[in-house]
Amino acid sequence: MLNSIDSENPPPSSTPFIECFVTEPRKELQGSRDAHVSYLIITKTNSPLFTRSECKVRRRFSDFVKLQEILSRLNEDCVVPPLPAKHKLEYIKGNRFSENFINRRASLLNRYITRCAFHPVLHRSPHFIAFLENPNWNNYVRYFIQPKLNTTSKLDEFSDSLLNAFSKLKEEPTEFDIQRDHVQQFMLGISNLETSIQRIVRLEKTLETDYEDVSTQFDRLASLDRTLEIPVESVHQALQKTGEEYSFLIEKLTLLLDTIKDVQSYAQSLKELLKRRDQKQQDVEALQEYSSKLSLERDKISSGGSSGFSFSKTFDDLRGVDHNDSRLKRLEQVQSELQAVEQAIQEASIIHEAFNQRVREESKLFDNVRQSEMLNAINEYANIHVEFFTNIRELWLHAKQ
Amino acid sequence: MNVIKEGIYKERSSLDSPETSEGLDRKADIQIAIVSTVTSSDGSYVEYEISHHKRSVWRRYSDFESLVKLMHRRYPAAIVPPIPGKQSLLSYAKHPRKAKNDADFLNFRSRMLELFLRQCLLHPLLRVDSDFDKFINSSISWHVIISSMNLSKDSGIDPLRLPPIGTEPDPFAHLRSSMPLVMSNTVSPPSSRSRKPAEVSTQSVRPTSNPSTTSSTDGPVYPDSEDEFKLPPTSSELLLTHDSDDNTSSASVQEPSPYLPSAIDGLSVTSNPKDTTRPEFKDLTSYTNEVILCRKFLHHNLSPSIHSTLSGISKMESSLSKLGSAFHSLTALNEIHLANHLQVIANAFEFSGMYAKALEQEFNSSVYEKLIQSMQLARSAVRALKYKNLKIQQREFLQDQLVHSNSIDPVDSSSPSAYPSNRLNSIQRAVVSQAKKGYTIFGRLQNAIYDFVDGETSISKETLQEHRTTIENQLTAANWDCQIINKLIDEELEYYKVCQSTQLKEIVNAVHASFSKWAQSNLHRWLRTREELEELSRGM
Repeated sequence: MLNSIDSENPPPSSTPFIECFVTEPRKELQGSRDAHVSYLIITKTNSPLFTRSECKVRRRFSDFVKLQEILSRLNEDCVVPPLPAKHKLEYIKGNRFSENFINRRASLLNRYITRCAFHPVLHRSPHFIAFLENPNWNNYVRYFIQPKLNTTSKLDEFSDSLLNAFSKLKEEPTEFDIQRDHVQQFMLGISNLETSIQRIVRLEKTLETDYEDVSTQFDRLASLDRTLEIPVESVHQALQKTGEEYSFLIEKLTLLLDTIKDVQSYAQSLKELLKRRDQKQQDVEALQEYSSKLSLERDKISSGGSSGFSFSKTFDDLRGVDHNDSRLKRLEQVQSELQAVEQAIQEASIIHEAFNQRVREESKLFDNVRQSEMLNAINEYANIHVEFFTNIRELWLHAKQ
Repeated sequence: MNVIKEGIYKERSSLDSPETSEGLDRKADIQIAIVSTVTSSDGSYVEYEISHHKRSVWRRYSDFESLVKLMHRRYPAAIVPPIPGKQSLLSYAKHPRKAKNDADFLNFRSRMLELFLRQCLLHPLLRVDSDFDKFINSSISWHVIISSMNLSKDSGIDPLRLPPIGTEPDPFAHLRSSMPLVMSNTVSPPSSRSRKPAEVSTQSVRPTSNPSTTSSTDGPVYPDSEDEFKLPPTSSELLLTHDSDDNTSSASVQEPSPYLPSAIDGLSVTSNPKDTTRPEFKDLTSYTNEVILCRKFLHHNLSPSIHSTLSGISKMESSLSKLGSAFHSLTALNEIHLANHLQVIANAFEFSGMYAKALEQEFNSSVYEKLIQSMQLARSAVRALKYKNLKIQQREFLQDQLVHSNSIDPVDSSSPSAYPSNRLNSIQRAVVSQAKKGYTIFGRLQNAIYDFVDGETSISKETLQEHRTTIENQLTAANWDCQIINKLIDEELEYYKVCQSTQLKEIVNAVHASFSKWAQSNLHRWLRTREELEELSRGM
């Protein structure tokens, strides 16, 4: 996957690169309550942000989870690649230390880290760098990151004060709406594909046992009729091997299924990003509405009041307040508020535009990744099946002789 | 008894090689085929065209059925090949109008009927039978042929009273209706003792000519009474045991007849020291057990597992085509160059689905159906072998009867009268269940004697002499029957073995062929797919 992305933007030799892979799963602290599997991460880089050009650290799955959380909280405008699911079912079944499961997880984590490393924004994040080289991740998290997670940005303050729960976006479809529909449709198609593949894998599992069963029966047939022994023996062997081939096929298809699920969750993350962007947009628009309301008010005041203020006018008269004064004061208030809001709008717009730009980049990245993943998956499919059928034909031809 | 004669095997070996079902008719004179079917003018039945020696005859399914019935009646000890079953009620319910004309079903029937005819032509007796010859060669309507034979209308005749095999006129026909059916009790396992003995006899002895199988279901589950076959202990041994507990036993009908062996589970033959004098009987029994085992295996093990594989393959087919369409539906969402890839792989999966369907169909027609037919042939063989056994036992029973009646001293009233009357009682007990029905003359005779003895402790000379003569005559008839059986038994068993072996070999070859073909076509398709994908990628 990484290679195909590279081929689209081939980095010249002077650009910083980060290469990392996840290997060597190792079971730690077995027997104790905290038994877990740790993975070795090897990083090779020439980026100046790192302290060394090569580092190796060991991390466990929950460390990855923490990293994920941090990155997504602090980089709202990025599509953080999805982490493989926690596989709760395997926890219950007690399978989480099986070879199969660990290997699958290792390859998925590898994919995750390479995606992060390749992401234009994320790989510069200090936390990501710390993850890759800091030997003491837990402390880092506790002392450096935790406090930061609790601060909020200025934009949030303004958004919080405005009730925008009921406001909607403008009616005309923006480019992002189109993108969102696009992603939505893709996700539907992919989930459809995934269910079909899953069903086939299940059927192939039953076929595998069926073939084994039939081959045993044929073997017993030989014992009934001596003259049939030789031909039946070959059929028995061939059927058994067919069953075995099916089990290989199933393994490979399961791995492929993993990558498809991955693309799916990637699409999901992108969708969430788009939603966040929409929310930000709503916030900005709400601000703009507020500002226009304020300016309306200001105009009204400067144009000498209207019937809206008549009640308070008589009230003021009773109190003996100077109309003009109060009017000027009110005008001042509105004016300053308007200014503040305008400023906030300006800032927000800049941020928002930057956010939009980031979202566009992410979408493009997603498209690239999606394409290359799908292409790979398709090619993998063809290869797997070619191999499968070659083997099967071989063994049946061989059995005939 | 030498069942496997090498000479015949060498001759038959020429039938072994080919993969198609033509294998059975490599012999020049066995060329028979069902070449086409035609629906009648009002669509109510279908006729099958039998082509033999360049002649064509048209027969419908019920003609085949009646032919099989006729053969069963005429040769109750012969292994008559099976014909495909009638449509089950279920499939009628599913497609009330389509059932008869469904192309698949007609093909299946044609195939199975063809197989039936081929096997008949190999059978030593059937192929020379004049009526069978008429069936396949003469264009006279079968209905006419049947009605021209004067068969007795009594379809309830138990085959034990029919001559075993042979076209020679039966010199003992008049005696047959009175021959005892005593052996029926010995065939039922102890568990079914409570069943009415008459019922049991018909179940175990009546020919099973209409197995109701369709291509989608397995053969019917036969009551287990068929599958247990025990050799009854010889009469002298039994008599000894019987004497000891005679005084204590009551005269209830439910009490097992002296010929009922004690409960033995499993299919093993009860070895009997007295068996050494009857070698051909022992071989027959062991072979019967072998055939039963084979049938059981085929029925309970091999065919269900093949059936489930077949259903797995057919499910695969639908899933594969669904996967293909899932890939297809993705093409709408992707840019052009990926869309082509998706198209290519979608096609590949759809083709895969098609090949899976082809595999299923081929497998079904050349493997599964043949397997079912083998099963049915085995069942037919079991029936025939059991009949032979029963005939032999019938003869023995008559021999024992003679022995007993010879030992009865008619006018002796001073000698322990309990002895002769008990002797008679034991014989009567053996037939009392049939005698209860009163349809056998022998039974009635026995009943008469019983009544007679009840009143008197001695039996008159004349009655006894009459009794003895009847038994003697019947014994001669039984001897004659058994002779015929013995003469032909080798040939028949040979025939059966050959049929099964060739069929099973064909099945094995068919398995090879279908899988190779499936793998080949799939491989071809996927190689092409990979090539196309590579081409597309290069063009990108």
